[in-house]
Amino acid sequence: MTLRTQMTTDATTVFMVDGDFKESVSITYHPHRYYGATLRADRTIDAVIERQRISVLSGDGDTVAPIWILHVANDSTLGISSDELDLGGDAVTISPRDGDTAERRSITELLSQDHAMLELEVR
Amino acid sequence: MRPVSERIALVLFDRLQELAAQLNPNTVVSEVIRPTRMGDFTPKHNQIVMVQDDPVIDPVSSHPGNPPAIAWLQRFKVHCHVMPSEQDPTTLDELLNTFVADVIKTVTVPQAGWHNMDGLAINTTIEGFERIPPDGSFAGMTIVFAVLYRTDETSPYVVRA
Repeated sequence: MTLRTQMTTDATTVFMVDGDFKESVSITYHPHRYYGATLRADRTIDAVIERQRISVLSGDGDTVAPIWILHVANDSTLGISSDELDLGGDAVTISPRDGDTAERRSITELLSQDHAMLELEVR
Repeated sequence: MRPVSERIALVLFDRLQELAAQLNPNTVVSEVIRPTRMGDFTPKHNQIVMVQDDPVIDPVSSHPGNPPAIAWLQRFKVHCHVMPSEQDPTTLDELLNTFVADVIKTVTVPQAGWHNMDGLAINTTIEGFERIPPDGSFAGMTIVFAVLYRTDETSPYVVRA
């Protein structure tokens, strides 16, 4: 097994295992549908979430918004694949704080990617 | 009764809300936000976030009396956020030109008296635009409205002529 395939396997069998790193409650991914494009249905995915730091929206300079960092498998079934991601409308429903009621939030940035996992900024 | 500053903010906010009522055929505004301390909103395409700058006393427009009338210059920043789909071929400049035009067209109604903010202000001017640089998440344009109004020196709740 190559390192590449090992990392891909680890994304779903190590990071996304119940009782280890991943969120205990699955989160919902809402793919954006661009006008006229084929409908992509919402689906439940697994993710590791770093929660809610408040940070200045750099563009505005005078407003703040919470940040969540999501680690998901680069996978179109269990996670989100890099080729389907649309940073202009894709969203996830996550709990702002652990155990809190889930809210829909926009995926705003792709922070890093490799063949196994994506690191996403959600605000 | 709310302070004059807040009543003016609500007038501006209500006018911006008309864009969110989706009556405008060009820019379909998703929502208009006045953020909380924790910034409880998520960036969206065609979103407006309205915030205030520090109020400044305008000594030229203030006048004596008992109590004196203090003139305040209050700047409101209207951040127009765009976050179009990656599949959207529309240029960023086109989106922003249209968004800004629609905001100005909506806020300046009625044409003859928009500047007095429903009788609460002496004057309102469109002071300028500032581009929100794209940082990988959203881009946009900030429109600054400067509202000049007077209150009693001793009560910011009372509008003075």
